[in-house]
Amino acid sequence: MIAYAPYLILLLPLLAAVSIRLFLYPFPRISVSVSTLACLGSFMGSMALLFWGSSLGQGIVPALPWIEWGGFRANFGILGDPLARGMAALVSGVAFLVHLYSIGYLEKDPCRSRFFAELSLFVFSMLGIVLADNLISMFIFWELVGLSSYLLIGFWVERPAAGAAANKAFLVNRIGDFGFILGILGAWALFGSVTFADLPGRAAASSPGWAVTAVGLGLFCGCLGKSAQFPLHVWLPDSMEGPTPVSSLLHAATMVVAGVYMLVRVLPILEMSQATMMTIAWIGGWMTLLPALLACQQNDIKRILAYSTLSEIAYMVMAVGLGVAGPAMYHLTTHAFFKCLLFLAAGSVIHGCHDEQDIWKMGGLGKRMPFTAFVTILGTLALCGIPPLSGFWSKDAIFAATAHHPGLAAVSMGAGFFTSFFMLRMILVAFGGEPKNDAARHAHEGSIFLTAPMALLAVLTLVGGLLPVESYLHFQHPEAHETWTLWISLLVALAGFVPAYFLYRQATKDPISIPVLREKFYVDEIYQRVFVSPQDAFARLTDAFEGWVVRGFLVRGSGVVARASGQGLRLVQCGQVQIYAAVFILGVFLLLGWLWRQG
Amino acid sequence: MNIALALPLLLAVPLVAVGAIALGASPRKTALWASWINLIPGFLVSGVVLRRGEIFYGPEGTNLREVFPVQFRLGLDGLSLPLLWLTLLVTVAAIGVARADVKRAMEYHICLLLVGLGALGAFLSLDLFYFFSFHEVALIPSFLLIGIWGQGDRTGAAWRMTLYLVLGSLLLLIALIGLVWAAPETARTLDWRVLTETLRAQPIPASQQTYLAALLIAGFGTLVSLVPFHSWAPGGYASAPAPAAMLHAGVLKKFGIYGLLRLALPLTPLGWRELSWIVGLMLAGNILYLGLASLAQRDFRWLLGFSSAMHMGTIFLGLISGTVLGLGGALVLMVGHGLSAALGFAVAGEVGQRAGTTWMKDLGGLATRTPKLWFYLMIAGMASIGLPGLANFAGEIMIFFGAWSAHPFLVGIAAWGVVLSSVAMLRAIRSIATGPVSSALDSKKGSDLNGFQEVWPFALLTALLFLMGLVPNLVLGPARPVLERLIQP
Repeated sequence: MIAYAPYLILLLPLLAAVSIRLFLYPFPRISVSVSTLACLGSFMGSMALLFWGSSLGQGIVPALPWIEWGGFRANFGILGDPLARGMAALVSGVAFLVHLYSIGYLEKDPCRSRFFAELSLFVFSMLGIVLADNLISMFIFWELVGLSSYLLIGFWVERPAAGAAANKAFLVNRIGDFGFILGILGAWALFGSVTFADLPGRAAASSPGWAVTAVGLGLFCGCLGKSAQFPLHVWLPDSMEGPTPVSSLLHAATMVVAGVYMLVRVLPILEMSQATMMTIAWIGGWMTLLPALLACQQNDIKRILAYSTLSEIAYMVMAVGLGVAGPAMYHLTTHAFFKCLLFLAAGSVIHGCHDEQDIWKMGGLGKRMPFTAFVTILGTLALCGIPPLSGFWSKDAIFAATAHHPGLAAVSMGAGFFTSFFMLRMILVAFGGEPKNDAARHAHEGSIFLTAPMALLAVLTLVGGLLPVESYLHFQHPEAHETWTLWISLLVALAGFVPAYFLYRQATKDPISIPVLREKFYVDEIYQRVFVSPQDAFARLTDAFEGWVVRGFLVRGSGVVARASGQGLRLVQCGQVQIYAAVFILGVFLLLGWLWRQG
Repeated sequence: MNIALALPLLLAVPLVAVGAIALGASPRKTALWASWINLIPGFLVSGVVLRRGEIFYGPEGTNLREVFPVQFRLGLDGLSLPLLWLTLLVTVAAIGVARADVKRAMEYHICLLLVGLGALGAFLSLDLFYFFSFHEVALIPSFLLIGIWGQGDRTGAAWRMTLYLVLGSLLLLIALIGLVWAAPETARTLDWRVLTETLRAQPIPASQQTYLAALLIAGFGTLVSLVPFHSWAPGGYASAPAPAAMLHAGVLKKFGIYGLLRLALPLTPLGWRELSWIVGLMLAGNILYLGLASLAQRDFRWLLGFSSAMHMGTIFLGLISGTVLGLGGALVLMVGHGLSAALGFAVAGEVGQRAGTTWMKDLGGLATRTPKLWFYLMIAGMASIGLPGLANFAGEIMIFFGAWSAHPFLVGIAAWGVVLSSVAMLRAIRSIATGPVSSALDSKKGSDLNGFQEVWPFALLTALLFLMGLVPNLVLGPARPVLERLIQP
């Protein structure tokens, strides 16, 4: 019985998406319920799988065949190991809470049928990534997740900025996927299999070192795109144009960490090459620090959180690069709780202030929205790694892994300082002081649909450290002899609160102005100048060449052809192509007749 | 009753419809009925092919010397089966989106039926003469459709297309004669089945194979718009009325690839291998050069024209992969591309009807104003950029895996082509569909697809795209033995 739970988990959201799209479009209330119930069903299935699915190993669940052809097998198999089961429970659980939240958040939107159909599509594809037992089916769901992200970012179709952000997200991800698919092809060529269960055995067999490194880096490209790491990080801050529940579920808690999950799955390949591992660790290391710096100068509440997401994912990537998958997955789990909570709280603020996202136009919300303020502070403490909240335990595990890499320890702990700084800045400016405008003055808490999911996530944020993660992550809490990382990281994080408190306690405008941080290191501008504009110029040049040289000169240019063209035109215009046809067919017959005589 | 009679019936039904329309029957109704009815013999012959692997109609093959060489012989096997269905169904959809109030409706529908008829005949013929001539039968009405019912620079486009395709056909004709000629004198025949057997037993000398393969690649390549023989395609499709573009880009273009699979691959394997690097260069040209050019397009029809020609490069990669996997991928992608291109041109036609323009800068707000049309625009776009679940992805992934060991660099180029076409298509979707409702869409009677009457051709193509994407074995299963025989040494 339990063997079919994975199919149930996957099919419920898919059915919901399809049935809403086909039949329930005009009935938003029914669509909302169908989608939410489907997600609840998935969650319950995942929990059942988590508790009773331990008998499910590799291959017990029959795979759905798709293509089996000429030595190539691409089938949809289900992976039932503890990691997949835990991740499925996490994804569907958080997704269910966000469904509930969305009911309240999009109460008045006439297009909520579409929203919930797309949300169900996302849940389906994300669970597909989690449960996939090979790289090809993972890639398939990977692309579908990209599609649902694109659709949900661009949900408000009439807003030009949303369309631009959606396109950017999809295209940057496609660039990452370009590397990913080449990596998959390479892995297939090297190891003869892309099934996760086969990888540890096959990867150990000797292969040329450069090839293994190339394959590892190719696979890492997929993570760069989906998990928004440098140099493909540019889409994530822009993706905040989507509705806030989407930012919370896709662009903080689940989708963006798919890259980390994938890296953990292919770790046997990555581990074969020290160069790959070090590249991953150092990209992760620097990406903890740089977005944290940028967040210090952002004014949009969602963008601040988006940069913090970049930084937190980088901790996980760095951990994978250091070869410790357990802490990476642990931080992924706790991060899903507290970051989802922070985003839902931000959504509650935005909802309360009538779509205001600039923290400098809020103020005084602490008194008007005490519950939201409380959960924001809770989430912040977890994010900054303050004990005993969940984030402390997982971050501590990652810091412990950096004990023998002083460089990485320095950048990642330094990032903690800035994280505390910008989070306290955000809280003080948005929730403290006096209201800056009428919207903030009349802000109030939202309905039960908004507050209940936040309350549940707050509980998880609080007790996340007690989760029995060791059993399903194969992971030990750090040992005592590495406690120096604990104390230093904690001190650095606490130190970050101090300057933020004094600078922003009563600020009405930002006392610091660092343009290079506000403008995100000009990366967007650089990409525009270096890649986009030249490519467009080159495309126009190609088009001009095609139009004037190939179509114009070569075809029309020569005199003979021009005369023939006159004839051709006349024939077409008289509608007498029949004559031409007759002549042509006659020619064919003559040729054949000649052929026959010769024969 | 002999079930093989269903084969000529497939050709007779549209022919009778053409006659009936010419005699004054209601053009749209007759054409639509005929194309639906034609599915019945289609089912009959498919049943036989699925059970026995092939089906034939006509006299047995005979020597070229003894009787008049041209004989009407039809046949169907697992390779032509998907193409038969592609033709039948795209014809149904194309006639479904054709307007009843078009000028000179009688001639218009006759032309459409003839294009479908020609394509069917070409895919069914066993005799090289009919194989070639049926394609011509399809080409001529497509020139007319563009020249008379087209838009934009329609005469220029029609004539450029005529010039290119006729020259291409000429090269092809020479190549076909050369192939027949290459067989030993006593065994010359126009039946390509028999010819294949003969030339398998006594292969053509390597040097001749190279020449013949070159001619075949140039000839068929022109029909498939392989760079540098491509420049008829984008403009031709941009100017064609939607049903004509659907039929030509969706179905007729596949004739060239079909021909290469049928003739060039098994008959000139050495030449094919010799020239595979040139084909590689050419297909890289399709992907990169046309891909870049498609980025610069500002008219949606032109963009579809370029992107349709561009994807031929990936199909060619499957052809030169030298593996059954790659060939299977090419076949799936042929079908997928046929469906997605047809859907794309159908959507462009409706957009043009409703907004009076397909100039992307003047469009916008399709998603708000006409959500159904937007949905089908998304399906066509997502299929063409290779989104999993839809047919094109299944073909592309098979081609990538099939060609990886022989041509990793070309696979890299083709994978980059996916990125390029995503850029072009997503930009187009954004400027057509999102943002505020454009004045063009607002001022005209910009209503959505109206009721079942207008929706069904789109729904049909969409359902087929999903079906092929989810169950590619429908195409691959019957084709497998045929494809395996093709690359047998």
